[in-house]
Parts: sequence; structure tokens; C-alpha cells
Amino acid sequence: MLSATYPFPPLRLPARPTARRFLLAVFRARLGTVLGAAAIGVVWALPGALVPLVIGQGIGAVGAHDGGAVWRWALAAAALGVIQALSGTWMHFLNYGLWLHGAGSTQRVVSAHTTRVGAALREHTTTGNLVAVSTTDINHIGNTVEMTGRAFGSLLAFVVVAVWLISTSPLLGVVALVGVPLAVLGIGPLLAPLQKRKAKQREKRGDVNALGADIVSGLRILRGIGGERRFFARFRETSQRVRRSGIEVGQAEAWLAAAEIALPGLVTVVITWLGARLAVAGEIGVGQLVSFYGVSAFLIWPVTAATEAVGSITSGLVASRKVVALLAIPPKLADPETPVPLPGGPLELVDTASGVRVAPGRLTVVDFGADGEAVADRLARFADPAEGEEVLVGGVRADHVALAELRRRVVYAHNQDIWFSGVLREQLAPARPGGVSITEALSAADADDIVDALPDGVDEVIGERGREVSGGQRQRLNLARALATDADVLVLDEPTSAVDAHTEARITERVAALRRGKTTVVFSQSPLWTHVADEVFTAKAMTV
Amino acid sequence: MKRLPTASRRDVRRWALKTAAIHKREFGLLLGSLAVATLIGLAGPQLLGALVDDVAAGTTTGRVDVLAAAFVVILVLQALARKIARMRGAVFGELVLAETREEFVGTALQLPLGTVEAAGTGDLLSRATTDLGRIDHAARFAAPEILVAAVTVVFTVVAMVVTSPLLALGLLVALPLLVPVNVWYQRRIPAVMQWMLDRWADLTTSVHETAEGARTVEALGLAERRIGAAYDALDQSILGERRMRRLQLRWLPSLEISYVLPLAVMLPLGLLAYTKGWAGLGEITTMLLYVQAMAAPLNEALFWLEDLQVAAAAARRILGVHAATAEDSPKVTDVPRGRDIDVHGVRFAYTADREVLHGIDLRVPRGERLAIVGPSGAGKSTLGRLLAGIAAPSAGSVRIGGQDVSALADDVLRGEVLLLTQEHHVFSGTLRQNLALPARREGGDWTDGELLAALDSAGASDWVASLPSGLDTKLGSGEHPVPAAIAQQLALARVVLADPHTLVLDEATSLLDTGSARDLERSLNSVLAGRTVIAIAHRLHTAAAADRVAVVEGGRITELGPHDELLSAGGSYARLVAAAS
Repeated sequence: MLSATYPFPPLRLPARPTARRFLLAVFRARLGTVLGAAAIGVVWALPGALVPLVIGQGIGAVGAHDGGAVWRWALAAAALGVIQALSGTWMHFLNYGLWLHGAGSTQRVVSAHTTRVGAALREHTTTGNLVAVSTTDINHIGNTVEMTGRAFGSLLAFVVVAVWLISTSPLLGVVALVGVPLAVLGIGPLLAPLQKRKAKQREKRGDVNALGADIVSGLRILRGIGGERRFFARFRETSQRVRRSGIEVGQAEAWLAAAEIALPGLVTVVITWLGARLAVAGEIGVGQLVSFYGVSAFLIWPVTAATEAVGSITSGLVASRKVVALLAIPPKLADPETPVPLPGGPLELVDTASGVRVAPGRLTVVDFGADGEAVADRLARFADPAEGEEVLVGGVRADHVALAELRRRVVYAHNQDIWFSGVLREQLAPARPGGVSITEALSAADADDIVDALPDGVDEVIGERGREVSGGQRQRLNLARALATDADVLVLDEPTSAVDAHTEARITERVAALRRGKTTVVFSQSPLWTHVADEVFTAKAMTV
Repeated sequence: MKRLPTASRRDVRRWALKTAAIHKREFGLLLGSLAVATLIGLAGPQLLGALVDDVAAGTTTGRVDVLAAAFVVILVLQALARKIARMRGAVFGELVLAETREEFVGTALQLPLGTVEAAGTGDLLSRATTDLGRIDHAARFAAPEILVAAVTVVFTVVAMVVTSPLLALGLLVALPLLVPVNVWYQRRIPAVMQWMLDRWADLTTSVHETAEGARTVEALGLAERRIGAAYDALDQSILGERRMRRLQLRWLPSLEISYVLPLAVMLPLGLLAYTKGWAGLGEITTMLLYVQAMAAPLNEALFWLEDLQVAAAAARRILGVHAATAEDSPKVTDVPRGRDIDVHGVRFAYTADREVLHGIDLRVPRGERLAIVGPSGAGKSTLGRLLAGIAAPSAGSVRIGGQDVSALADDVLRGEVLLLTQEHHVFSGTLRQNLALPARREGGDWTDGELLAALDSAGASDWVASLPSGLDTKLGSGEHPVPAAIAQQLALARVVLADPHTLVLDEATSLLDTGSARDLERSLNSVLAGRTVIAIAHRLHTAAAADRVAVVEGGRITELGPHDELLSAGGSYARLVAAAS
């Protein structure tokens, strides 16, 4: 059986990689496999170059009625075929591995970075773009890494054929050596417009993908209130634009296909024509003439491989540019250059701009209405205060604390937080287990009845965004998830806005008991929270 | 999670045939140009055969020059024909692709809401991106290459049989290897491929969720776990790819060997024919060149075959969405007579063993304001969905004006009753595009005046005034930000435009802070005037303002009556009110 994990050697990336540096890093991480694929590619390509020679010799032998020689050449052809098949299979194995490496390690780097960027991510990119990168672009990068073996093999096969031609007939050899590169160069000018059109088409396809994804994401609303027709009309229009740009690409590709036949074909005709003249002059035999034809027909192949390689590198670079752009997304807030560690135990929070001072180890309720969110954002450092104001956490300026430490100590659960799909227990378990068990957290959030109603309890798999449960139930599960972190400071934004008064009363009392001795700040306008608070801040005055 | 259905392989074949039949002209032009290009290409080996015969028999350089000139002419013609064939391929491919894409989204837009919610957006999203992308790729690359290869191989075999039936027999040695190995492979690959595609779809879902929940991930320190989830999903996808690779590694060598065998056999066969005088040297040359010429297209077809199979598997997922709409019950064309709502003996279960509502009877006369209260999870939202016709009850009936609500056609239903929830989505597009969703009764487009008036009644006129380009301001991710409270006001403005006589509010204001909620409720009041309103509420001042209050507990209505009456009755509503004050 295949093991479940696949080794991904880490990519060594410079701080701000360019598209090219990124691709190189992908190559370098599996240099051994890349070299192996190139070596085996040579073994695989050579028989392709040699078979025409063997066939030519065989026909010569038939013409000479030399039965023994005919059988020898027939066996040689078969042997070459077997070598090609075996080495081809091996190459396929390595190439496939290289594709997995290229696509897989790119996906890993992108996933890791974009996830760590956190809240700032969606200011810089769209979900549609991220999905496009992890479906299309990692593919292109995989393809770029994959084509190494074939490209090297055909290059060497070309050299072998050229050497044979020169040793047989210097004139023909020179024609091949000059003609084939000329044919490749002749195809070159067709590639630039093709790539340009392809890039344009890719952009259009990105648009249509993003629009499709957007429609699917908002499907509930569209189905609920209408607008399907308008959105469909918009999609159709975008889709038709993709079609038109696709036909433009097809046009460019059609010329390329014609050139790929005509240009190398001309080289073949010239070589065959010169060969036939040599044969008429009696300088070479019929068999050799056939070999010339076969060998020069074979030369189309390296030409095609070269254009393919150029195309795949170009696509790889375009994809790599998108990846690099994602990797360059900075976190929203800067980490301090020399972070100051936070003191241990429950922490005091001070926001000078609003005058909110949260005493350590107490439950504080802030009733600021719509202005509360800005205060919460500052207290948990999701935003920095204006010039001249500051936020102190345990006496230390919030922007002097390493962000990772701050996030660990101060947890800010917002009521727009989403629920991720997966096993309920795993989604509830905090990143770092503290002194609060999942059962305690569920009980404090009065969410045990939700879990009890699920067929598999805490082992139930909850789908995307927790849509299986109602809004109020989801809010209680979200609260349980926040409580389970057992953070030194817990900032809760309207944690019970969607639950009924009975339940809310139970929750407030249980949360107050569970959080005793730790710092808790609740942004809420509910009197039930005020009942259990140690301290209350309202927009007008402060009461204790 | 209940996945959306997948079409059968027969459905895909039927769809492919139907598509070719509908676009007879484009498809015919494609095949015709391809056939011409291939036929011209077959002349090359014949010319060389003639050259070999002439050289063997002794000829002049003049004759050689003429043949070379003929070669050049054929080459140019072949290149031009191939160019035309390619172009026809692109035209046909893009046509089919656009159609597939548009049909898919069109169908998705008709899916029953319940189906979409049960399957999650991820499943549909991965079909809209990954699967469409795979079909796209196949139509652009694999299909034309395989078509060219197939036409070339068939024509070449015919040319060989015509040129020398005896030597053509040499082709048969390939069959004993070629056929069984392919049968073995083709039988195994679809299941492996399907599994692999599903794993890639899981990865897409994971990426999508993490991006959507970026703030949550940061706030709760879930980054490493979400990265772990992405890595796990990737590992599974890679495992699927490796299973495919393992199958291919057992299949490839036999295939490649099978097309070099005829070459080895035809040399001795050629010797026999030449010795007996059955064939000339030129004929043998032509035949050997044909065999060689077949290897390249076969190889090419092989190289692309897996992409075509991947696309076929993707097509099953794309076409499967059509089956999901078919699951929907047929809609009646009748319109309700009257505006009273009647709920009779309603039971509802999401799954057979989990009944949420256990027999609800309720009558809401036209123009009434009814508040539904009760503990979370009591079935309030479910009842709301049934009242709005989004789901049908498992037993009993929900009727407006004597008609089953869930059986009404979408357009009719929306004019009757709408559900407004706390969930919102800002589409990437202009404010106008976000707003003008409901159909305009008089037909045509909504005027700026109508849109602005709707925004005004939703209380969003200040916000609109602050926008850089008014109604044409671009919203959505990466564009002008829309706070949650405004997004809800936009939803409300849409309701004003849709103008239903009944509105079901499911905690529509609950995710807003109380201040914004009050503002929104004030705007609501002007919007709600004259309509029947069923408000699922937890903030009790909403209930106090209603004509009647229904208390739902454990899937049943336990109390029903005006606020004051219930208060003096001293039941659970009274306790609820006492707890909140």
C-alpha cells in the first residue's frame, strides 16, 4: 500500500522571491529527481533517434536479399522498442513525482502563508483568486517542473542524430544542424502573440471563475429574493468574452500548428532531396536514403519538445508570479523590532482613546453600542489607536508585544466569526489546551443540548459554516470555542445577541463563574451581562 | 455532508452525442478539415516509396527534383489544412465549453435551496471551478489531440491495407498485447480518478473556508490547525494522484512495446514478399514509414487520454447538478387566492430519525404581526423556513390563500412571502447590481429613483451619500467595504423592491449591536407597514410590539396570544420576560 504522507522537501525561498526565483527554488528542492528525470529522459529518447537508422539498414538488407541481416535488424528494432518502453515508464514515474512536487509544495507554501497572514488577507486578495491559484496555477507550476526529462532527452537525441548525419554526409549533417534550429527560431515569433493572447484569456477565465464562485457563494440570497436572471445574464456575457478570447488563442495556435509541420518538414524535404541526389549519383544506398528520411522526420520531435518546453515555462512563470504576489501579502500590523514580553497571570487592558480600563481578573462589560467594535479591535490589537493614543496590555504598549504572544494571551471572539467544517470536537479544541475542558466550555455556553441532539455528539461532522445548526445554536458553539481557549484575556463581542433571554441568563452566570480570576471583556448591551459584571462601561458614564 | 449527485457515464456519453448532433455544422467542419489534413499527410510516405523505387531502378536527378518539389507542395498543403482543422477545433471547443459553463451556472441558479445548503457551497464551488477547469483543459488540448490521433491512425491503417494487405497483417501482432492491457486499465481508472477528484475538491473547500474565515483563524490562533487541515487535504489529493500513477505504471510499458512489435515483424515479412516478387522495395518502405508514423499519434493520444478521462469524470459531476434540480417537486402554476396563512398539522424532519417540529397548527390573518419566541434550537427557524416556502413540511401543510407555499413557482412565491435572515453576502459588483435583484413587476430595469428610495426606506441613504460613485460604486472583496449593518440594510432595501405582502424575519438583526439593530428596526417599521410580519425574535421588545406572540418549545407551539394576555397567564412567556428585565 502507498503511505498516506508524501515527502515535501522544504523550499528555500529568499525573503521577497521573484517569479523566477520561486520556480528555481521548486526545482532545487528536488534537484536529484530533476537530474534523474533528465538522465532517464536521454535513455528514453535515444531509441527514437536510432529506430529510423535500424529501419533504413533493414530495408537495405531486404534489397540485398540478406536474410540474416534482416532478422538482426528486426531484433534490434524490437530491442530498442523494449528499452524505450521501460525507460519511458520509469521517466513517467519520475515526471509524475516532479509534478506532485511542483504542484504540492507550491500549494503548501501558499496555504501556510495566506493562512498566517490572518485578518489582513481579504484586503489584498479574493477568495476566488486563492481558489484559482490552488486549482489552476499549481498545475502550471507542476507542469513546468515535469517537462525537464523530456526536454533534456530530446535535446540529446537531436545531438546524436546530427553527429550521425555529419559522419555519414557532412553536407546533410550541416543542413540538419543549421536547418532545425532555424525551424525552431522560425516558430519563435509565433509564440509571443500566442502567449499574450493566452494571458489575456487566462485573465478572462479568472473573471468567469470568480463570477461563478461569487454566484455560488451568494446562491442562498439569489434563490431567496431573485436576481438569478440578471446574474445569469452577467455570467453569460463574461462567459462569451472568454469564448471570444479562446478563439483568438485558437487562431494563434492554429498558425503555430501549421508552422510546426511546415518548417521542420522543409528541413526533411531538403535532406531527402539531397540524399536522393547522392543515391542517384551512387554515393549512398537505398537503405541509407530511407534512414535520412526517417531520421530527419524524427527531427520534428525535438522541435515540438522545445516549443512545448518554452510554453510550459512561460505558463509556469505566469502562475509563479501569482503565487509570489500572494506570498508578498504582509500581515496588517507590524511586529515590533524588539518585542517586550507580557507579564504572567491575568492582564489589565487600557485604551486611552475611550478611557476603558479593564481590571485584571475581572469581568468587564462595555456598552458602547456601535462604537464598541472599534474599542474591541484596539484592545485586542486588530487595529492600532490613533497617533497620541495608546493601548496597554498588562502595562506594556500593545504594539510593543510580539503579535503571536498577544494573540495567544488575548483572544478576541467576534460574533461574525465563522465555524469551520469538520468533527465538532476538533473544532472546539483550542490550539493550546488550557484549564478548561470541552465539556466545561460547552456547558458554560449552554450548548450541551445542541451536542446531545446530534446523532454522534461531539464526534459529529459539522459541514461548512455550521449551517446544520441555527444561528443561535451556532453562536453558542462559537462561544464554547472561545471559552475553551481559556485565554488570560477573553474579549467577547455580542456573544449572546442571537439567543433567547432564558438561555442568555444561564450563559452569563456560567461564563462569569468559569472565567473567575481571568480577565474577560464583554461588549454587549444586554442587561443580563450587566447583572454579572464586576465593572460596566457605558457610553456616558462608568459604573462599578 | 450530503454531496450533490453525480451523473452516470451513460449520461455523459448521451450528452456528448447530443452536443455533436446539435452543432452538426461546426462538428462536421472540424472532422472534414481534419480528414483532409490527414489524407494529405499520407502522401509523404508514398512519395518516398516512389523515390526509393526510382533510385533502385536508376533514375535522373531531374526526376528527383520534380519529386522533391511535389514534397514541398504537399507539405505546404498539409500545414494549411492542419491550420484550418485547428481553428475549427478551437471554434467548436469554445462553443461547447461556453455552453457547458453557462448551462451549469444556469442550473445551479435553479437548485432548490435545501439541496445547496445540505451539500455546502464547497461542493458546488469545486464543480464550478475545478471540474469546469478540467473540462476546459480537455476541450482545449486533449480532445483535439486525440481526435487528430484517432483520424490519423484510422486513415493510416486504411492506407496500409490498400497499399499492401500482406504486410498490413504485421499490425495484428500488436493486438494480443494492446487489447487486454487496455481493457484491464480502462476498467480500473474511473474509480481511482473519481476518488482523486473528490480529494482535490476537499482541498478547494478547505482553502475556501480558511480564506473566508481569515479573521477567525487569526483571532482564535487557529492558523497552524488550518494549515494542518490544508496539508492533510493535499496529502489525500496526492495519495489519489499516486494511486493513478501506480495504475499507469503497470499499463504504459505493454502499450509502448505493442507498437514497436509490428515494425520488427514487417521487416522479415517484407523480405518474404520482396523475394517472392509480391512487393517492391518502395512499397515496403512506404509501409514501414506508415507504421512508424502511427507511433507518434498513438503516443500523443496516450499522453492525453488520461486528461480526457479526468474530464469525463468531471463532466459527471457537472452534469450531476442537473439531476439535483430534477429532484425538486414540480411547481404548480396556480396563484394564491387571498393572503391568510394557514399552518395545519405540520411536522418536519431533516433526517428520518430527527423530527424538529411535532405538529404545528397556526393561522396568521392578513396584516397581522406575529412574534415567534422560544429557546434556541426549539425549531423556530425551521418553522420560518416552512412559512417562507423554502422547504416543504414532512407532514401537514403550510398554505397562503389556499395554496401550498412550497409548491409555488419561485417568481410567484417571492411576490407573496420573503425570508430575511441574519446571513448576508455582498456580491462583487456595483451597488446597483447588489440591489436590483428582485424582478420589477412592471418589467424592465429599476430606475435610480426607485433604488435610492428603497435604500432610503432601509435607512441607508447616509451611507449611499458617502459612496464615491453612488449606485455604481463597486462593492465586494477587494473593493469598497460594506459593514455588516449596511449589508443588512441592503438586504432590507431588496425586500422593499420585491414588495411581498408577507415577510418572515429570522433574527434578521441579531448579529448587529443593539444600537444598529434599533436603527435597523426603525427602518424596518416603515418597511413593514401594511404587511403580514412573522418575526422570529429573541429581543423581547419586538415581541411586545407584536399583535400576537407564539412561544415555540421543543418543536411545538406551547403558548399563543397577545403579549399582555400571555404575561398575565404567568406561563413560560411571562418567565422569559421576567428573566430579561
